[in-house]
Amino acid sequence: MTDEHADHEDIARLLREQGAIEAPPDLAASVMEEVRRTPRRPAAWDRFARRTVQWAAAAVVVAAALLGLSRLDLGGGSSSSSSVAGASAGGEAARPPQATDSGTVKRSPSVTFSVRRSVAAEVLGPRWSAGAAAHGRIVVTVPPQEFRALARALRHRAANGISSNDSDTVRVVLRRSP
Amino acid sequence: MAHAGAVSLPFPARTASYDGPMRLDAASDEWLAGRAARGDEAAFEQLVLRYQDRLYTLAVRVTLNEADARDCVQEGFVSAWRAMERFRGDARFSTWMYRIVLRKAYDVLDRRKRQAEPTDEVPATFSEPSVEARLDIEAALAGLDVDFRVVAVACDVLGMSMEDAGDALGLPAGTVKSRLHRARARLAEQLQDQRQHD
Repeated sequence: MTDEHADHEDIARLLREQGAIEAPPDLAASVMEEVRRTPRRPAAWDRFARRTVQWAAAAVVVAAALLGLSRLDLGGGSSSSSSVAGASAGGEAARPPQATDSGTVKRSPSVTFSVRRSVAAEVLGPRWSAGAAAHGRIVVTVPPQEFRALARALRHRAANGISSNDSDTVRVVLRRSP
Repeated sequence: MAHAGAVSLPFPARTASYDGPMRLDAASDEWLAGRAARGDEAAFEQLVLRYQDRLYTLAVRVTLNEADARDCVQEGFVSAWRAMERFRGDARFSTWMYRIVLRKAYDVLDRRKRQAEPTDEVPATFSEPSVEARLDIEAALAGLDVDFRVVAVACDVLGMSMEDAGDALGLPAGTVKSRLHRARARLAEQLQDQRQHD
């Protein structure tokens, strides 16, 4: 064991004393020549670019969120006329208008509400026509400046708990004229 | 093949044989690496001067070929320069560089295996301290399996602790310890055999 230890110490000493090799004298110069030929963007530029991209991404997200919120508000909790009409045709209880994606609202500026006839008559005023609503559905086209107010009023007064076969219920399709 | 002379460790700060920076030689590796990460070529040059001998030693001992070793070191430094911004200081700069150069040296060995190229021998022309002793240890070292040789070089030639060697080689310290023990035992056997033949 002692001999082995001594051998190992001797080997370690030999390696320590004789194992190292000096690099060629021109190695550092050629390395630096290559380094200077190697394009590298400064770190400061990278940091600036990274921060700019992060801020731009955040701005895009915020803008998209604001745009989405504004569209939702514009729709007054609307759903597309086709989808809501289809759902309402199934006779489900009065449903508050639901929002879908903003693209749908933009392409089809209409909302459908299920409300009591008396409410529809009250909210729509001169636009209400009992004859037109004889089949349980009335389509009202209003200018953009009135669309929002009417949609909000109908949404607030939408009937709750009306069964599908409630004869007092009418579906009001509110369309925004171009 | 170029001649390579032996030096003793720790390597003294060498004066560059060209117009190099001399004011940064007292700075720490981490400070220089930070400067280099910000594009300071002079700081990086100081690191090159500081570590070229050690890295070259490691590369020669692994590849057993001076031309390949030179390429490994040169490419390693250039790779490091490109990646300096990613050097976060989690490891020491020296450990990081050892890893880079080792990876390149192992790539050389892999290429050789695929191409089955004959390799040049380690230079056998030395002036000191003793031609015979040097030839003995050179040949014995070259005869070791690379997994054991690299551990012996890291710990005994470069003077790294087992923990540092483990970091640089990607091995647990226990593995480094056992491989170092076996490497020394094998070297002792080889040297004894050589001397008996002589």
